[in-house]
Order: sequence, then C-alpha cells, then structure tokens
Amino acid sequence: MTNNDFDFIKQKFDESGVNAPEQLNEEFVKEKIQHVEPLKEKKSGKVIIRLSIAAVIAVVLVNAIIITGLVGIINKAPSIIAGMNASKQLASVSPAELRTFKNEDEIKAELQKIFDDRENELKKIDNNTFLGDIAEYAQDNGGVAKSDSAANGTTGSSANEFSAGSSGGMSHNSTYIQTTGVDEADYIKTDDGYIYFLNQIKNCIEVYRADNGVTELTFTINAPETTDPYDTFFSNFYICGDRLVAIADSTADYHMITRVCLYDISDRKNIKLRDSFIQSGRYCSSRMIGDMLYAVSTYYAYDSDCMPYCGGGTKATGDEAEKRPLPADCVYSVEKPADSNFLVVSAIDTGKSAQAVKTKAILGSAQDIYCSQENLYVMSEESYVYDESNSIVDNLREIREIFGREILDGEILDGYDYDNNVYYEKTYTQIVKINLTGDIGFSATARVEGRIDDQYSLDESKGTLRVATTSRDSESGNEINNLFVLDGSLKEMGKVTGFAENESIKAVRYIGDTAYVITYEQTDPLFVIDLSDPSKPTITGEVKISGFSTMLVPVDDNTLLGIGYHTYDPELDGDEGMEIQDGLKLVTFDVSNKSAPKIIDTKIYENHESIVQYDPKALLVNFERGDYAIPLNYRDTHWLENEYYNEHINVTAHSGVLNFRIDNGKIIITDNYVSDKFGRDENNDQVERCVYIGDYIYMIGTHYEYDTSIDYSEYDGSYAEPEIIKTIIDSVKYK
Amino acid sequence: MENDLVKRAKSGDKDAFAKLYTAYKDKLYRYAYFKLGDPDDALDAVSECITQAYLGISSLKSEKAFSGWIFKILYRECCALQRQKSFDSNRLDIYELNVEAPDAVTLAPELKEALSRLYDEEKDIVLLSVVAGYNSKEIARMLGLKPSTVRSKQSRALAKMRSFLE
Repeated sequence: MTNNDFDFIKQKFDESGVNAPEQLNEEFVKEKIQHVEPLKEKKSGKVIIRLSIAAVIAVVLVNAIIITGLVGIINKAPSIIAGMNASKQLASVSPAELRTFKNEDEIKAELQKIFDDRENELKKIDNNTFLGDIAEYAQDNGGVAKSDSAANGTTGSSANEFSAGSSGGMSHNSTYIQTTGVDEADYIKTDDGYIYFLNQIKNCIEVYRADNGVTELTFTINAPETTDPYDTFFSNFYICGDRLVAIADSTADYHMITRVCLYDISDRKNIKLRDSFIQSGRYCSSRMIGDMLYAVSTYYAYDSDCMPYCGGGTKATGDEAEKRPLPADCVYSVEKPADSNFLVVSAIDTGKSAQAVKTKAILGSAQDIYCSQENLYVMSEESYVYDESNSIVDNLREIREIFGREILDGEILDGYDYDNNVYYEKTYTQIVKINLTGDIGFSATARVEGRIDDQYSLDESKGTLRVATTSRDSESGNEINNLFVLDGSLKEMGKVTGFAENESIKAVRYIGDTAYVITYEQTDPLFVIDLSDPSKPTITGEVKISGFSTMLVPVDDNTLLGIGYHTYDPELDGDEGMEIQDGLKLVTFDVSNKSAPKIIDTKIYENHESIVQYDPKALLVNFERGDYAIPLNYRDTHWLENEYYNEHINVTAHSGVLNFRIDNGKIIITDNYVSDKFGRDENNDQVERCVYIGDYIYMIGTHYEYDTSIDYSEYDGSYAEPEIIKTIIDSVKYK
Repeated sequence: MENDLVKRAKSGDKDAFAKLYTAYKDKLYRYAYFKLGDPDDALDAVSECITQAYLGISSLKSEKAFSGWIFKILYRECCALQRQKSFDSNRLDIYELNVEAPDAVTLAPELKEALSRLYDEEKDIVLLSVVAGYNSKEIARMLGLKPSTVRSKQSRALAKMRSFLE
C-alpha cells in the first residue's frame, strides 16, 4: 500500500496496460517523417506568425459557455483576427475616430458586417486540418508564469503615491495600487480591525475580527443565488466605509454577465445585501474613485440581435424584466472592430445604490485597464500577419497554402522561413480612452504597435499618455521594445523604439518624467528613459543584472526596489539558452544618476516563491514603519535526471512571511517568519497574502482537500462533493 | 544516450529521431488515450505529434528538455483534435461529444471511470503531472493557473481518484 496519492495513481497508470499499439514502431515514425525536414532555427531571432481564426474558436467558446456554464474558467475570447478588417499598412501609432450610431438598426448592421466577414473567412477554411504548433515549446522555458486575469499585473508600482487608507483607530494596510486615489479591487481587504477575505474556492467573503493577532470569524457573505443553474462567482471587492462592493461573474439566461453587489457592513456580524446591478459580458476589471465604481466587462455578441444591456434591483436575479438594452447613443465603435466584442463600462455611485449612473458600450474588446484620476484606458491586443513586402496578409487560405496546413488561434511559428518568404506578425494594442470627469465619455482610440505587459506599462502625466510595448522588428523578426508618448487625443508626440533587442518588457514604472523599464532574456537590464521632452524620449542609462524583476517599487527619490525571479543556466557543458527560473530575488537600484543607474544590493532566496512575483497586490507596505512584507513559500524538490520529473520525491516545504526594509539601499531583513499553521508537506498550503492591522501581520491562505473519509460507494454523481475547504490565518507581531 | 539521440535528431538523423520517439511511445500513447478517451484518436494525436516534433526539433534548446518538450507538443495536438471534433459536428452537440462512443474493448475502464469523475481541468492536471511528468509550475504555465492552484487542484483530484479506485 502506497501512502502517497501521487505514487498510488501513477502506479495505476503505469500498470493500466495501455500501451502504444504494435504499428507505432520505428518504421512507422520514419515513414511519417520521410518527406519532412526540421525547420531551421534562426539565430536567436524568432520570426513569428501568429494569427487567429478567432471566429472559429469564438463560436466554440461561446457555445461552451452557454452549454457547460463553466463561467469561471472561460478565458477571454481572443480578439485577434488575421488581416480581417485591417488596412494594409498600419503606422506605429494610429489614432482613429470613434464611430457613433443613430439607432439600434445601425448597430445591428455593423455587427452583421463583422459576422459576414467572418463567414467569408470561414468558407475558406477546410475544417479537417487543425494541427498543432510547431516550435513554440522550447521557447517558453524562461517565461514568467502570468495570470490571465486582467486585474493581476506583473510589475512595479508607486509606493509613495498610494493612499494610506486608515481613518483613526487601528492602523491597517490598503491594497497596493497604481494611482493615488484610484482604488483597485482585490480578494483581500482590511479596515479598522477587520479582515475581509474572498475564499475563491468556497466562493464566499469571510469577515474576520482581528485583534492583537487573534482572529475570529464574524460573518460569511455567500455569493447570491441566481435563477440560472450556474453560480455567481465573486471575483473581487472593495471596502468603502460601511459598504462592501463585490463584483462577480455570473450568468443570466445563459449569457455571461457581470454582477455588482452592494452590501451594508455597518454591523459586521449581520451583513446585508442592499442592492445589486448587472451589465452584460464577462467581468474584466474595475476601479473605484471616491464612491464611484467603474466596472468594465466584455460582451461577446454571437449574433446581430445581441445588444449590450444593463439592469438591476435588489433581487437582481438577472430576470428578463430587469434588463434594459443600452440606448443607441450610448453605443460606439472603434474604427475597425476586429471582432464582435462589446466593451461595456458602467459608472456606479455606490454611496447611493448599486445602480449605474451611466452605462456605455463600444465595439472592441477589453483585456486590461489603466486608470488615472480623470481617464480610464482600456487595452486589447490585435494581431496582423505581414509578408516580406510589409503588406498585411488578409487571406487565411493563402497562409494555409503556404504552410500546407491550418494555423491555430494564437499559434506561434518560430523560425519559419518558407521559400525565403518571411512572414511575421505584428501585434497592436488597441487603446480606448474614457473620460471620467463628467459622464462616461469615450474620448479617443488609437492603435499602438506591440503588446503591453500590464496596467503598469501605461501612465498618464500632464495630459500625455506614456505607453511601453514589446513588438517585433519587421526586418529581423526579433523582439524589440518601445516607449510612445501620446497626446490627449492619443496622437503620437514622441517615441523611443527598438531598444533591448531580443528581450521583452517584464516591468515598467514611471516616476515623474522618468520611465524605468525592466526587460529580460537572460539578464535583466534596467533602462532609464528620460521623458521630460515628450517629443524626444531618450534612454539615458542602463544597468544589467542576472534574473529579472517583475515589479518595481520606488523606495525614495534615488532608490528603486525590484522584486522578481532568480534565474540560472543549468547547463554545465556550455550549451546556452536554457534558463531556469527558480527562486525569489530582491534587488535595489540606485537611480540618483539617470545616466548611470547602479545595483546596490541583492537578496536571493533559492527554492522560494511568492505570489508577489506575479501579483503586485501581494506586496504589503507599512508606511508607519516604512517597511515591506511579502508572502514567502519554500519548497525543495529533488528531480530525477533523465526520468520523468516527479516532484513528489523528497519534498520539503514551508510557508510564511518575509518582512524587510530598505536602509540606504541595503535590504535589511527584519523577520523571516515560518508559520506552523501552513502545511509543510508536499501539497503544502501556502500563504497567499499578508495584511497588517495594528502591530500584527496576518497571513492568509486556503486549504483545500478532498474528504477521503467519506464512503464513496454512496456517491451519486452529483456536484455536491465532499470537500474540505478552510481558510487558514496566522499572525506574527512586527519585530 | 538519450542526449546523444537528441543531438543526432536535431542534425537531421531520422533513425535517431525514430529511436528517440519510440522510446517514449507508450507514455505518449497512454497520455493521449486518457486525454482523448478513444484509441483511434490517441493514435491520430500521437502520429501527428511525430511530424510536428520532427519539424520543430531544431528549436529544442536543451537535450535534457526533450521529455517535457514532446509532451507539450502532444498536449497541443490533443487539444487541437478536441477542438476540431467540436467544430466538425453540430455546435449544440459539444457536450455530447465528450461522451465517448462505447468501445468494443475499453482499456483500463476503471481508470477511465475515475478520470471521468474529474472536472476537465483536474483531468488535465492529473494527466500532465502523473503521465507526462510535469511539475506544478510547468502545468500552471500551460493552463494559465497559479502554481498553488495547480497543486491544490491536483491533490484534490488525486485524492478523489484514489478514493474511487481503492
């Protein structure tokens, strides 16, 4: 009898008797590759073709949503359509007019046009040749594990800018945010003496009274029931005085909707749902300025009768009667919508109710948002395929014929050079600017060359918008990086392009007139870019260090803290190119001299990882103490060489919190606390977040296991499965 | 030995590639079979994987990475096959597509049954870890999840399967 579940199941598979049939022998393999030659790898450069038959995939996706109701799992449908609707040559920044509609029929006609285009593309596709990628695989060994969630950024932020939040009573932290006064939703929040934690697996928000390191559950807010058979899933929430505003993914009549729920928390032992609001589409992200909530969703229209709508009421069950289609004068379109995705934005004055003051929509999808005090910017990626003469290839059949097979959505063909025709993709980021000062006003759109890393890649300052992107050089096919400065109507004022060839942006941070950009391939250069003349952004200096930061935090005027990954090249025989990402790295940069940034200090924690490496909100800043804390998880596994990896061999693990401060650029560790409430075994429960109230740091995580003590013979196949889900909390006093 | 085969395959030695591939054929087939639930589909996926792997072998950066690399190709092939199937048939039948036709001889019926009790995502995690040998970080990257989420889902799924099989 094996003790370990993994080994037990592995043995079952090994002994299953399922083996390759006789015919699959060496002769068969040789026959298969008889007329095939390996594609030549271009030196380091990657010629990439990435196009999509988003239409096909989207149809399937939408149906999957409707039929299976896997609300929480479906990712955004890609809005990339090769060549379709594209003008032949796109400038690096191309502002465009916003289009408006006189009535609903015009919107339907526009949608129908998109569907007709798609139908034409589909006719050209034989659907019997879906094949997989060729050569992306070896490339992604150094990639950052990124969350798909739009709200989860990967990079740096403004410690010195963020709102302290506390209003008398016990001091406590607030969510790590990008822009002063613009709150961001999260799955954990604190206020005066209470911790609010969204246990995402249990799908409920738990309220804990926290006093001198001792916590007590006072209330549990369960996700509201719906009339649809599918659940409402809380995504994240805000605390705003005596109100808790939760935003959830849900369905109404089998369509994805975003639901805003307003709770009265004046009595923390008896929390009541006061009001709720729905808008069509999957929840993308949100921001809160004062009491005003801005919620962004993407609504995929699968036929021309799909009009974006909103609605609500205290019942807010998404009943038909409550839905109100948006009037035509609240619907816009970007110049050339790539797909039938509506971006829906509502402004909700949560001080009064959960009902939207205004809801507007625009054809064009949303993947991430950046918000200043005045403007909300919504970004989405679009890709086009170009041939060697720099023209957009707008015929999928042509591409298919060239490659001799179908190309999958999002497929990356690496190093492909067919008959000397070099094809490459260009990715653009569509930006929609929404003015928040009065009504929600769609004020401008533009397409910027390249893709953005996350919300921290954008920054608004003195009426200009700065955008850092990673794109591909059309000559070499190599990745390059750019920084554009746009004016109020998103027209290009200046740019610096083509820096850090073969690397991509991992973190960006703007401080005043300076941009700090981290790129990575094998080393981690920090670039300093002077933006004081918007028409002439200039790289003034750089410094290199191994590993890379995914987050840049300003410590003081002269010091930046980088948090990210430790990397190393495991090859001993000089075979370069395989970098392994293992461990947490903290680094401080001296940026007092813009032309000569310097590394002051580094701390490496091998075999450790932290959620802060991909979610900046996991950084806990204590302004009173002037120090930082991050969740820190240790895990050491022994891998077998030349055998299937089995991380279940000799695993040691523990979890806790790292508390540190920066003193003259030096990283001083105040505490490296290992909690005994979090698991130390293989499937260890990790500290996901830490917060502070008063003198204590509280660590929170989720424990999840399947209750094996229950007699499975009684299992009737229903979804109510015996599970044990617990929230784990530990606390430690600040040293 | 294997490193040597990979080096030779990269330089265009088809015999070496065939040897290399057949060394993995049982594990690859096993993965495809449990992922797709059908012996014919599994053979299709594994065959297609041969061509794709050989085409792209020069991009394999490290000899030691072959195992992880080949399974990733197979994973994509299986996903592509599943997507193709859903698209080929009536869109409304997607759900039914996942319900397999009764095989004349079902291999490892108990394991298939145990897997069928998992959510799709759990099933992917189990197959990628147990059969393909990926660790949670790699799976997290492939499925777009957090490593900790992969680990918790994995342990839950394994426990669920075990309690069914025991």
